[in-house]
Amino acid sequence: MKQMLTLVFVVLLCACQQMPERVDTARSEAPDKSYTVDLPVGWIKQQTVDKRSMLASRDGFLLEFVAITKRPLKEAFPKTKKAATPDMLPAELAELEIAEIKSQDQFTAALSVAENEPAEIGGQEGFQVRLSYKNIRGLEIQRVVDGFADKSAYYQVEFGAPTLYYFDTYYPDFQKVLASFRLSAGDKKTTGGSAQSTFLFGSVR
Amino acid sequence: MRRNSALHLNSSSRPASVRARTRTRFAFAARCCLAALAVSCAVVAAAGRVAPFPDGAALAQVSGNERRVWDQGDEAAGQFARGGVIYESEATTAYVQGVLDRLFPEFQGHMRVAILKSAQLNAFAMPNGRIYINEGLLARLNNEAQLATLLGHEGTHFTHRHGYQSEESVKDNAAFATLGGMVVPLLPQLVAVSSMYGFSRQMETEADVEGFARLKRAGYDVHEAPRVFEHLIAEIKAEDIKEPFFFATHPKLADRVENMKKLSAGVASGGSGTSVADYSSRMTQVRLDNLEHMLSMGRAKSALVMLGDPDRRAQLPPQASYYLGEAYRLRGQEGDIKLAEQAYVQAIEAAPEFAPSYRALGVLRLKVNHYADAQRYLDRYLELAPEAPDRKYVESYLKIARKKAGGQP
Amino acid sequence: MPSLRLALALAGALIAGCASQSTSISKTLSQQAERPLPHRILLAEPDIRVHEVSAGELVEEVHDWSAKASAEATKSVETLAQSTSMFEAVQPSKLTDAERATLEQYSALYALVSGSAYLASHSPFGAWKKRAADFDYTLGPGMNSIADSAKLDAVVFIVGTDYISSSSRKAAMALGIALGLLAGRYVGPESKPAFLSAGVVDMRTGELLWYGTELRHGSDDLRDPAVVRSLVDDLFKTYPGAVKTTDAKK
Repeated sequence: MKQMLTLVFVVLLCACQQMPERVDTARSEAPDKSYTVDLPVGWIKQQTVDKRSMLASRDGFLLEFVAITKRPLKEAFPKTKKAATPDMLPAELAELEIAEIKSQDQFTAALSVAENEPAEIGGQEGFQVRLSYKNIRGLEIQRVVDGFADKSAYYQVEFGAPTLYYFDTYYPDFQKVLASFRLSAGDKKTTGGSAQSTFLFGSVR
Repeated sequence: MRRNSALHLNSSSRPASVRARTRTRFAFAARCCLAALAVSCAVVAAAGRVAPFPDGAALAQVSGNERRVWDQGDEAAGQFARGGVIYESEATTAYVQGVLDRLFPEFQGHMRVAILKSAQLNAFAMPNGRIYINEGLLARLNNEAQLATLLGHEGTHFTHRHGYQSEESVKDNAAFATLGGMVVPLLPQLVAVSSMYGFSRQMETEADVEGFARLKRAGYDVHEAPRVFEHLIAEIKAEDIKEPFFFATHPKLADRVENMKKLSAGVASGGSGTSVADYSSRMTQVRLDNLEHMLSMGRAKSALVMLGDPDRRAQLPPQASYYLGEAYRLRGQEGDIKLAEQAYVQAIEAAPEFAPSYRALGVLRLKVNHYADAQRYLDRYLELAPEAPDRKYVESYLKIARKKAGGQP
Repeated sequence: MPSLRLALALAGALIAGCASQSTSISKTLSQQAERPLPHRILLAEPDIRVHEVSAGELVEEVHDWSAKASAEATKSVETLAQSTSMFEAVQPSKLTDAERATLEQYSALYALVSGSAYLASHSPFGAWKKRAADFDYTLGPGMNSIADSAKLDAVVFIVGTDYISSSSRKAAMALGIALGLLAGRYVGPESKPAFLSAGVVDMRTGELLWYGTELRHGSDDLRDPAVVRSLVDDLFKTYPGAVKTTDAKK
């Protein structure tokens, strides 16, 4: 366990460009100002060194975490090396996201999907997947991933925690984070028409 | 730490007594280094082979360092079980165990097999007699004789104590590399690594040869043996895996095919375990689960290796064409959507009650603006699978299709 | 002679005992003087892993050593509790199979909670250090049914690791000293400390009431029952039930 802790500590230390800081004001902005989101006051937030993810946790990333990630379409799924495209259906994006999580390690490879359905994230048509897997000690971990793609990037708002106590306790906080997510005005790249049209218009051949 | 100023050698400016002390210090350090290197060389040389277990009764004598290695295997088994990565099918596991027991009757009860939920083509033996085979490899084999080839190989790693010997060899050679590398950089590392992988290559060859002998003794058709490696070669080509050749622990796959062919050359044809139908009937669910697993991980190319061959597809239930369609769709190369569509149509014809084919075709039609068709297929999907977990996605597609087709929302 | 001092310093760093570090995070037990200390405390099976490290830095757990260290830790806590009347120690054998399975799940959760507490308290970042100081870590109330049926107040979880050098690694360390005479610094493998931690969790609320750690450098290792006893004794010196002073951070 000590090796695991040391590794997590070093990874966090190395992964963070922005110093961890307490969330005193809920409204947080992406490093490239492409989106805003309200994080739970009193949690601790930090960014990854590549500036692609904004992370927040109350008790520590070994327990619960919220992560907001933005990746270029071509690098949307780095483990499986798959790209997202703006004309993908939400179900297709969800499929790629599940494959990405399955590829993380032998334990996530055996994950179970509890829910997989369409969702709206900040007015954008996307998906929500809820899944679970067991860690090396047999403790069940649950994750909820919401995602969508626009013309330039793949966005993801994610929550993870052990099922025992932590998932239900902090899920309401995640729901508030999710509900607060907004693309900044310059980044709202819809293809025109209604939200329903966005669903398929990109797929017109 | 402050450098010792006496180490700055400038002989003309230093008194003779200082130069003498420096020479003495160097000589002492050099003797220590040589002694350490000598010890480590002896250790490496002494890491010789150990005799194979003659039978199950001999396992009670396992002790010391070897017992430790066994305990690690037990710990790993616990982790697999707790982590939910064991493929839970009593019937399939009992069948595979039966093949293992037929090959190693004198170890019955001591060697246990488990199937792992993994799409990769892999199998491995732990030093404590636990053999693990991935669902992916089990699904890929054609018949029981091929399964027996695999189990004979892995079981030999256990009976010949390769796991324990490898562990000791890695430790000893790594120690040599460390001690040597502290004094003479690079070269000992290279020697140690070559030796380490060379030892393991010997073991793999031993496992092939001894495993082959077991296969023959148990009455299996030995001419099936080379085909196991042909499956692995096909997978490597499909996934464009670069097969390492210099420091690879396994002899090159093509070499192993040749070795197996040579071994079987002198043996008359015949022997049991060649029935494709028998094996297929036992592996139907494993194959379907494996296809689901591969596709859910986006491994379209591997799925196409399995499904692209019509003979292989014929071993699967009639809805197999649906998975072929999914593999083409996920691969997404030019022309693949057309191939996917054809496969879905075939699946509907062959298995009209299999719901996912309708959804797949409905979505394809939607994406090319054939709304009436899309509506028809998606409606049929929900009729056949009212509790479908992706119902909400499909309902949202139907809403669009109905609106576009001018039907009622 | 500078070279001899250097050699002695290098040898001392490797061989001579006992640089130790203790930390203790104590929450409600110290901050709420009126709150009664837990009386009946379940001793969860310790999770102590003792490894051997070869000269090639290969690490393997030695289950015999781990089992013996775990058994000694249990015995030490029992003895300590009895001799000091700190609390009444209860064995897990008193639980039903289902209760033991639940306990195992909470033991796995404890590993993450205590890990978070440890990381936060040792973090170089102020935000996490403050979080550790606030110290409201919990496992949740899911063990309360076990508390009710077995009439328990709390559970103590013990986690530990140790890494013992093999004889070839010790030879490498000796060589490192010899080379240090030339290089002016130690150039061999590093020694690794023994680590033991304990946490007391309120079984009804799940609150982590107290969490302490002991780190020992030098020749002490968890294969030695006397070392395990000494570590347990030092660990529980900072338990509020044992001493009246609080927060014995060193």
